Amino acid sequence: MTESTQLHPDAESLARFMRGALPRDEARDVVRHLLSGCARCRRITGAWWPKDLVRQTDTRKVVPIDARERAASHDYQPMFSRVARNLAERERHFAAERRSTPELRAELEALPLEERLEAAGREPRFQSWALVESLLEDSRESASVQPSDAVALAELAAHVADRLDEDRYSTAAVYDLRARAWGQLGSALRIQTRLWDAQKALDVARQNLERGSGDPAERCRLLVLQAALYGDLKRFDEAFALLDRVCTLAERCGEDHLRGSALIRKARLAAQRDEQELAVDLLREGVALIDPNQDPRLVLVAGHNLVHMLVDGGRYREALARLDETRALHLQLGGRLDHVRFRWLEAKVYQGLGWLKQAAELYEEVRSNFIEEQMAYDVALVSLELAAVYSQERKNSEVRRLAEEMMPIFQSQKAHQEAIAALLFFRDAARKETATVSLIHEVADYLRRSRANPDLRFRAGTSVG
Amino acid sequence: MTIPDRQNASASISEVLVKVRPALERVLGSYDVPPEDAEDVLQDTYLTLLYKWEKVQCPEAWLIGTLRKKCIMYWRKRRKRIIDAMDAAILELLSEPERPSQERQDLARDFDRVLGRLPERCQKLLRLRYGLGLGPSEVAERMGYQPSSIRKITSRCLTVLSRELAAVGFLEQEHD
Repeated sequence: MTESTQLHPDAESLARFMRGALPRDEARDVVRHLLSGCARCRRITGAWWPKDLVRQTDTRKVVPIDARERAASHDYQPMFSRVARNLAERERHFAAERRSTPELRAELEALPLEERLEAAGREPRFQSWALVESLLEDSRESASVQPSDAVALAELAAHVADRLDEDRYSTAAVYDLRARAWGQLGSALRIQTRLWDAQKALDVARQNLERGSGDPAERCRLLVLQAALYGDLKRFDEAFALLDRVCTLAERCGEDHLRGSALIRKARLAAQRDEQELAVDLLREGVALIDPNQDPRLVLVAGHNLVHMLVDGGRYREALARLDETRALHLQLGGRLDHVRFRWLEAKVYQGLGWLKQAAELYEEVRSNFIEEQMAYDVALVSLELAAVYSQERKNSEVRRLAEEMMPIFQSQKAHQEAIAALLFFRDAARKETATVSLIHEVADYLRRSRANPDLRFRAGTSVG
Repeated sequence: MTIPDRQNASASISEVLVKVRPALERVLGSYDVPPEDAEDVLQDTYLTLLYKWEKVQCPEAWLIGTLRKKCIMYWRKRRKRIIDAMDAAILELLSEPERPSQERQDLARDFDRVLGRLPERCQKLLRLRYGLGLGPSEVAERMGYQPSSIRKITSRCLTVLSRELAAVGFLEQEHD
C-alpha cells in the first residue's frame, strides 16, 4: 500500500462521498483509498450505501424491505410541521396567482399574436403556473372548435411553462407541467394535421417528462398522445405497442378510466387497419371502463367512432340506427368541429345507403365549414367525396366546379407537390369529363395516405411509396 | 373557462393532510428516508398535489402512492450519484499520466484485484471502458451487444463495481 492509500479519509468525507456531496478531487482520493481494499473505510461506506428495495416479481411492485423494523427509527414530527406551514404559505401565493390569471390573460390577448410570446417571455408576472393551466384548458376546449386557436394557446402555454421558476413551484412538478404543455401543443398540431410539427412537440414533451415526477398517469397521458399521432402517421404497430403499455401501466395503478381510454384509442386504430370486428370489441370493452364524469368527451368520441367503424365496414343500416344517439351526444358535448365531422359521417351513411341528394347537401355544408377553418386536406377529401356523388348523378359541371375551386385552397395551404399533382390530375379529368367514381376514389385514397407520408408519389392508376 | 375558488380548496387540502399524515409517516419510515432528506421529498409531494388538486380524484390515495414513488426515486437518485462519482473518479485515476510509476503499478494492481471479484461479463466490459478508454459504442461493438442495450449493461456493471468498492455485502472477504 502506498502512503496516499494508507491515509484514511475521515468519516465525514466518506459520508459526504456516499451522499454524492463531495467535491470531485476529494471524491477521487476516496475512491483511490477504497480501491486499496481498506476494510475500516469500507465498513463506513457500506453502511451509507442507499437502501436496496426488493422488486416483487409477481406483482412487479417495488417495496421496502424490513419495513416494520425501520418504521419507528426516525422522528418525522418536526419536519411534518415545517412542511405543512410552508405549504400553507405556498397555497396563499397560488390562490393569488389564480385570481390574477383572468387579468393576465386579458392583457396578453389584447396584444397582437406575434407579440404575446415575446411579452410572456420578457415579463416575469406572466410566468405563472395558473396562467399555463388556464391556457392549456382553453387549448383543449378549442381543439375541436377552432384548431388554429388551440395551437396558438398551447404554444403560448409551452412558452410560459418553459420559463417557470423551478424553485418556486418544485422542479418535478414544473417538468410535468412542461410535458403537459408540449403534449397539448403536439395534440393540437396533430388535429390541425401538422403531423411533423406535432412529433417535434411530443419529443420535447417526452424530454420534459423524463425530468418530471415519474407519475405514471402523466406518462400514460403522453403515451396516448403519441399513439394518436402514430395512428395518423399509419404507424399502427408502434401505436398499438404504446397503447398496450398504457393499458399495462394503468392496470397496475388501478386507473380503469385511463385503461378504458387507451382501449378506445386501440379500437380506432384497429378500425383504421380494417379490423372492424376487433375494433368494435375493443370499443365496447373500453366504454365499460371509462368514467363519464371524468371525461364526458370520451363518451362522445367512443360513440362517434362506433358509427365510423360501422360505415367503414359497410354496415350502413346499423350506422343509421346509431345516428340519433350520436347526434344527441354531439349536441350535448361536442364542439363546432366535432359537429362538422359528425355531419361528414352522416353524409357517408346516406351515400352508402344510396340517398345521394341528402348526402350531397351534407357534403356541401361540411365542405364550407372546412374552407372556413382553412383545413385544406379535409376540404380536398370532402370535395372528392362530393365529386364522387355528383359523378354518380352524372352532374359533370358540378364535378368540374369542385375541381376548379379546390386548387387555390389547397395551394394556399402549402401542401406538398405530389398532393397538388394528384389534384391537378383530377382537375384535368374533370375538365375533360372523364373523372369517374373510381378515379376520384383513387385520388382521395392517395390524399389520405400521403397526409401521413408526403414522400408517397402519385401516379395515375397507382401510387407508389 | 372557470377558475375555481382556491379558498375552499385550501381548507380541503389541509383536512386531507391532517387525515393522511400518520400513513405518510409510515411510508417515509418504511423506506427509511432520513428526516433531513424526507423534508424535500414530502414538500415536493405536497406541492405536486397542490398544483394537481382539481385533477386528483382521491387525494388520500394519491398522496400515499406518490410519496411511495418519490421515496423509491430518492434512493435511486442517491445510488446513481455514488455510481457516477465512482465512475468519474476511476476514469480520472487511470488516465493520470503524471502519476509516479510505482503508484501507477499499485493502482493497476488494486484495480485488477477489485475487478477480479466481479462477474466475467463486467470484468470484460470495465476493462474495455477503463483500461482501453473505449466509448459505449466501441464497447458494444467489441462485446457484440446492441448499441441500444449497452447503456443498461454498463450501468449494471458500474453498480456491481460500486457495490464492491463500497463493501456492500462483501466485508467478510476483506483485510486491513
